[in-house]
Amino acid sequence: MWSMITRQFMTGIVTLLVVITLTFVLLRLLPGGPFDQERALPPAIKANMEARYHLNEPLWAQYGYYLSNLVRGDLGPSYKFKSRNVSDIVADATGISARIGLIALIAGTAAGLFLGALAGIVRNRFWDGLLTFIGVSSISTPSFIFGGCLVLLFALTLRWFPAATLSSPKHYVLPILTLSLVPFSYAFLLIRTTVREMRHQQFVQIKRSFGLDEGRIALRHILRNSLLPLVSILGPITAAIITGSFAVEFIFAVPGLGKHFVTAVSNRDYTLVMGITIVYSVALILFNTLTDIVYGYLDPRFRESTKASE
Amino acid sequence: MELFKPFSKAALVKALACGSALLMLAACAQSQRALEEESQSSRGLPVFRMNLGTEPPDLDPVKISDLTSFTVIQNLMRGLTYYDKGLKPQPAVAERWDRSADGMRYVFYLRPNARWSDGKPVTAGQFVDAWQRALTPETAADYAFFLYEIKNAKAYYEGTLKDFSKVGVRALNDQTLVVELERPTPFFLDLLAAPIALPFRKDLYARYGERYTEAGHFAANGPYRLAAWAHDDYIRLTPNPYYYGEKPAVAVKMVMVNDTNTSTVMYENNELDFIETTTSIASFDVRRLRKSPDAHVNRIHRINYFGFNLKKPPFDDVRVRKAFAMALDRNYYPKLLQSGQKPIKSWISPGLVGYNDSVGLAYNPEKARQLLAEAGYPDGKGFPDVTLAYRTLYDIQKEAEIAQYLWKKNLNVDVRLQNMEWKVYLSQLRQDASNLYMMGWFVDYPDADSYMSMMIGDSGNNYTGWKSERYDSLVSQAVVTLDADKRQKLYDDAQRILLEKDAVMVPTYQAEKTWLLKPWVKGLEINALNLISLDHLKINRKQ
Repeated sequence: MWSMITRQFMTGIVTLLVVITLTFVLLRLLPGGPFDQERALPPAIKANMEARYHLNEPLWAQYGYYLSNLVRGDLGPSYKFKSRNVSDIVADATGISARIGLIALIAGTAAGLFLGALAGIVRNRFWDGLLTFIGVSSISTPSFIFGGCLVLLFALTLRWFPAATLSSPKHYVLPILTLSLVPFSYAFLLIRTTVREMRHQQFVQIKRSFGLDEGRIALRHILRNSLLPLVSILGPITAAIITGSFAVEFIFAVPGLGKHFVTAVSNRDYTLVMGITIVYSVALILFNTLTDIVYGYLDPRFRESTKASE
Repeated sequence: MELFKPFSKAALVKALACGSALLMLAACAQSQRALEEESQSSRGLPVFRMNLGTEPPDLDPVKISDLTSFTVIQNLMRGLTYYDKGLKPQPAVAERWDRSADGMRYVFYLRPNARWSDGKPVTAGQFVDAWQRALTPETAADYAFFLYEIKNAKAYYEGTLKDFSKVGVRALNDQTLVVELERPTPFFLDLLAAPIALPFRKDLYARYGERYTEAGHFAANGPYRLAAWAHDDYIRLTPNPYYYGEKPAVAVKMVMVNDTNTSTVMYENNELDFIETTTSIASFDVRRLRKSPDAHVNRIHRINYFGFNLKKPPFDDVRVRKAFAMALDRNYYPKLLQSGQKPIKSWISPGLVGYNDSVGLAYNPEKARQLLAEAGYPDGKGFPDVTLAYRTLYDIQKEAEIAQYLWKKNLNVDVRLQNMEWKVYLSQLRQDASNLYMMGWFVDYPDADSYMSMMIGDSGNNYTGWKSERYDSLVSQAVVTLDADKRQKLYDDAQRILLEKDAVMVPTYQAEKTWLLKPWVKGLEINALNLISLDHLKINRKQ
C-alpha cells in the first residue's frame, strides 16, 4: 500500500509539472494581455507595467521565475488585483469554496445514499417511480437552473431565504442546496442501481435463506457492498466541489474560487489562472489517491491485488 | 493493510459525523461574526446597500484604472479639487487657489482642517509624495500620463530627467502647494480631481507595503473611511469622523455580486437599495426596469462609434466611408436598444465646450447610394467582402445587426459580422484592425480634449491608420486655448475634418445610465463621468 501511495505521489508530481507547463504556455498563446483595456496605455507606461511583472522578458525566463517562486510557495502577484498575492486570493477563496463545498458534499451524499438505498429496496411502484423521477431529474438539471429555481421559489416568492451573498447563516442555505445537487444525484443513482443488483446476488440469497431479516441484509450486506462504486466517483466530485462551482458562485455571489476559473482567464490574470489550476490539480490528485486508499479499506479484493503487485 | 488498523469503522463514521458538524458550526460562526462586525461598524447608522459588481482590483489611487475602484475611492478620498454634480471642479482639500495670468502656474492653499481618518493632517507634502510616486516608472501607474501637464513630469517618467526636484511641483509649507505646468491647460483643475492626483501617506506605505490599502491600514481623507474589506465579498464604509465637510448620515455596504440577474433579484427582494446598468442590470432587463417608479436616467460622456481601417479597401476610398456613414439611421439605436441612447453624429458629447450638433454626416440614403456609385459600386454591385468586428456583448451584437440591416437596405451591400472575446478583440484592433470595427470612448476628464486627442495620428486608440497634420494641429492648439469661443471654433474645424471631409469614423449614440433607487433613499448623485457620490445620502425606511 505504501509503495502504491509513493507511486501515486510521484505520478502526481509529474502530472502537476506537465499541467503547470501546459497552462503557462497556453495562456501566453491567448491573444491579448493582462494590461489590455479599452483605453490603450501610452507605450512608455505599458512598458513599465510589463517590466514590473517581468512580462518583457523571454518566455523561458518568465517560466524560470515562476517555477523558482513556486518552489518557495509563492504564486506571484495578481496582475488584476495588483496589491494582492495570488497565494492570498487562492487561500481566501478556497477556504470559502471548501467550507460550503464540504457541507454540500456531505449533505448531498448522505441524502443521495439514503434515498438511493430506499429506491433500490422499495418494491412499491409509486414510491419507486417517484424516487427514480427525483434521481433522474437531479442528474439532468444544471446547477444554474436548479439554483435559479431555488431563488425564484425561496427568495422571491416565499421570501424564506436571501437571494445571494454569505452575510448570515441563512444566506448559506440556497448555495449549499444547489451545490449538493451533484453529489446527491450521483450518490442516488449509483446506490439505487447497485442495491438493485446486489439484491439478486448469490450471497444475499444465501443470507436470506438463513432466515436473516431483510433490514439487516439491506444494511449490513447490500448497502456496504454498494458503497464501492460510490467511493470511486467521490474523489473527482470532492475535488470539483471544494474548489468551487463557477455557476453556483456566480448566481449566489459566493466569494469562492469557482468564479475565478472564468474571470481570471478573461482578465488574462496569468498568475491567478496558474494558481487556480495548481489548486484544482492538487485537489484532484489528492482526492484520487485518497479514493484509492479508502477503496482498499473497503474492498478486500483490491487490497489483495495491491499486495500481490508488491 | 497496516495502514488501516488503527481505525475502526465506527471511529471513521464518528469522525466523519463530527467533522461535518464542526464544518457547519464553523460556517455559521464565521457568518455570525461577519454580522456582528457589520452591526458594530455601522454604529446604529442606517446602512445603504449597493452592488459594485466585482471586487475592486485595487484601492491604491495611483494604480487604479477601472470604474469599480473609482466608485469606492470617489467616496473615500478627496484631492485638491472635486467634481460637483455638473462636473465643474470645486475646491476640496484646496480651499482656494491662484492661477497666473498665463495659466502656467497655480498656487493651492490647503484647508487647515483637512484630516485623514486617523486624525493626521493632510499636507501639501503628501501631494508631492503622491505625484512623485505616480511618476516613478517602477510604480507602473496606469494614469501617470494625467500628470504630464506638470512641468518636466513626462521627462521624469520617461527617465530623461532623474531629479524630481526639477518637476514642477513643490510644497512651500504644509498648507501651500505650487504647481508649474508645461502649457496652459484649460482642464488642469479637472485632472486634479482624478485618483492619480490624490495625496499619499508615505508612512502607512512604509509600514504596510502593498497591503496599505487593506481595511485597518488604509487612511481616507474623504467623507467615508474604509471600515471593512472582505475580499470578493463586500466593502463597508462608515463616516470619517475627521472629514472637513458635512459628515455622512449613513454607513455603506458595497457587495460584489457579479451576476446582473442576481443583483436585480436582490434589489427586488429588498436586499439592495440601489442598482445601475454598469454593474447590476442586464441589458435585456433595462427596458422592463425603466418602467419602475424607482428608475432614474442620466447621460454619460461616452460615445459609441464605427471606425474604418483606411489601410484596407474598400475603406481607403473616402466616398465609400461617407456612403457608409450616411446610410446609418441613428434613430434606430434608442428604439432597439431601449436604454435611452441619444443619437449623435458629432464626436463631442453635449455639456462639453466644443459640442456642436451641426457637425458630422447626417442620415441621407440617397446621397449615400450616389457616393457608393461614384466609388464604382452602383447599387452595391461588385462591392468586396467586408467584415464588421466587435466585442461579444448582448447590446453590441444588436448594434452590429442594426448597422448590417441598414447598409443592406440603403446600399445593398453585405457586411459580415464577427464578434470576439474582449481581449482577443482588443489585440486584433491594435495589431491589424478589421476594415470596419465598433468601439466606444468614455472620457477620462470632462473636456472635449479627451475625445479629440483620441484620434490624433500617434494616439494608441486610433485604429484607423488615419493621420492628418491639420487635425493634429487644431487639437493641439485647442488644448492650450483658454478662451471658450476660440476653443469651440478650433474643435468645430477639427471635427469637420474628422467626420465630414475624411469621414474616418461614424459616431452613433451617446450612452445613458439607468439606475433604480429605493424610495426611502435620497441624496444619491451620479455624474456624467459615471461616478457615484454617496456624500449626501439620507435613508428613511419608515417612509
